[in-house]
Amino acid sequence: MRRKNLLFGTTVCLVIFAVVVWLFSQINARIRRDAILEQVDPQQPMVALTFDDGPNVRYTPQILDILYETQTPATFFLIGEKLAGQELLVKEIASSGHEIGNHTYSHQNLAKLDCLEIRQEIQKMQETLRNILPDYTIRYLRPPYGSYTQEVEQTADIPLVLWTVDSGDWEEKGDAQPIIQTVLEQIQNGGIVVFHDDNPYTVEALQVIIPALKEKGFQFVTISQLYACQKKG
Amino acid sequence: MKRKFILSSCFSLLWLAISLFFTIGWACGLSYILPNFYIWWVIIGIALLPGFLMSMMFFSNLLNWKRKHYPDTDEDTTVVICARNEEKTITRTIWAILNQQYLGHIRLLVVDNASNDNTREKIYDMLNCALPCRSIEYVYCEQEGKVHALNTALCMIDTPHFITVDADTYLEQNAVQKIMNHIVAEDAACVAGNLFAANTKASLITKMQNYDYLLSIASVKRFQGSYASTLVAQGTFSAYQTGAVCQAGGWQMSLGEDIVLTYNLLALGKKSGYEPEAVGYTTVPQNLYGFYNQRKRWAIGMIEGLKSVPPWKQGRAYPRYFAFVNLCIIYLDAAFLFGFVPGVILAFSGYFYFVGLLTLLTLFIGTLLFLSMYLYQKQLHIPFQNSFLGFVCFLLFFQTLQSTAAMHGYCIRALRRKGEWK
Ligand SMILES: [Zn+2]
Repeated sequence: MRRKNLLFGTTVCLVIFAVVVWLFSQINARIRRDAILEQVDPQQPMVALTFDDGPNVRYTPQILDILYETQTPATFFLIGEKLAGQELLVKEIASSGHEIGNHTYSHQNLAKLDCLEIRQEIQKMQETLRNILPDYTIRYLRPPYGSYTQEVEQTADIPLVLWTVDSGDWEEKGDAQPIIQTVLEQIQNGGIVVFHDDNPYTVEALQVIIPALKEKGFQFVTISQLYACQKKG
Repeated sequence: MKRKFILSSCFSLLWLAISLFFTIGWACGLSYILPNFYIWWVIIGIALLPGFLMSMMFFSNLLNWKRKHYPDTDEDTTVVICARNEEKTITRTIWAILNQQYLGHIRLLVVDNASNDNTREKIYDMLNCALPCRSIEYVYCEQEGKVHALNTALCMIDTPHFITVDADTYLEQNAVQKIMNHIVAEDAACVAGNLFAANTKASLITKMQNYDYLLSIASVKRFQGSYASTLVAQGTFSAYQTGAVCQAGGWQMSLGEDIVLTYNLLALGKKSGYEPEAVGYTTVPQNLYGFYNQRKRWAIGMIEGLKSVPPWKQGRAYPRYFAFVNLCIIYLDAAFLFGFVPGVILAFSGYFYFVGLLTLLTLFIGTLLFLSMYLYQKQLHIPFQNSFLGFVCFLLFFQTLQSTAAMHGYCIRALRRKGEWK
């Protein structure tokens, strides 16, 4: 009787232990992936994929999976107020070797704010991210709606990054085809493409766009890598 | 009664809605790492369902804060004590019955269940102490098993109501009066008394159990009792209607004979109450081994009760509801062990994804429930001993121990192996 109790107690402990191990492996399978490392050749054409308005719990993981499978680095401009509860997702973006940019705290039109409010929007996002990734330094700001003034540029202590190709995925036409078409038609060397990782069509389009661009000889870079090459060039 | 039940249901549904509002974000944050079924299995099992049940219990107990006062009865009654090798405690138990302040006559039936220690001598010694209105009879039951001892006594009872008291349990002086007042006035088939741990100072295990009796068991009993649907009129100290018990076929062969009997009484459409003022002190297991076995037996008893009368076959709506809740306990125990405990371990390694805000919400309502229960018990003027260490350990470890033992019980029952008697 005493032995049976002990045996059962041990079994329960083992099952709990197994669950813990399983939970850990599930978490690590994502956030402890090897970082995507790509040798950038400054002589070859390059393109930077950027994703705005994330993180999105439904679509960001799907995009991360595609990027991981194709070993494609990208840049995510995150919104500060969306970070709450998505700690794992944010950690995964960083640990996978992608770049994280600032897309303000609450996605307001910075052109319509005063100096103080602009600074708050930018800093609050950085502080929120610092709670999740204490050592991470954000290097670029993408103003919401691409709208900014000289005042915004002066207030922000980091450079602003816009885009050269708007994938148009925010228009929600219920179809991936227009996104694919737009990107493939307008792409040029040194281009920055803006996507939004908050809808299924972007996910669908990426599955076509990435292999197609690779075929055309493009290499994928983060914003920092792109600017570094452009400076050298 | 109905209004209060509906009110507390509304309150708990509101609570559920609030927690659900918080949960959805929580579940989403996890859904990309873990399978959805596991996430929801855990969230429902450790936060939503417990929160719902506790908030309902809390609010219902608040609404039923005022104790009912019943007129004093002087109906003659019978007290049954079954003893098997209880030489250490039997004297005190009998003494407490003889000293009852009760208006009627008490006939004490002490059933010696084939003891092979000095129990018989101890009982014989007490026979001399009988008073004109407190008579004692020694009954010998050869067949081993509490069920046989109880059924033997049942045949000898000639009063309309009787009380069972375990040989290791002693009663407050007015306990018989209070419990008899309740059962007579409410015309209930059975009424459970309010139990406290007697040997609180013996060990850490007993200190923890003290709080289990004081806070958890009592609040569940009060909740169910408010709707005359106490699911367990524990044999340790309860009053019964003799006719109803006979109608239910007496005690059936099982590990949780008192649970099965209560379920059967309820299935007959009869009422089952709880009397907080009828206080008894019971000897609780002193070591982990004894405690574990007791809780295992209780879990088996619960399954036996649910099996003998499935929730949907209950006579009245309230017991049907409470029996369904009891069915959920199996799931709650599993979710606690395999959802909450791993979550806590993960939290200690820096991953606070399971034991998040929602768990805090559940802890909050749990604290409210315990606090209100503590205040309620305090105003009964029962001298219970507090132990800070005991309370902390109760909060930290009790549920884990209890859930493990209960899970063991469910497994034994599922594998249909027979557990042993006391
Ligand atoms: Zn945006």
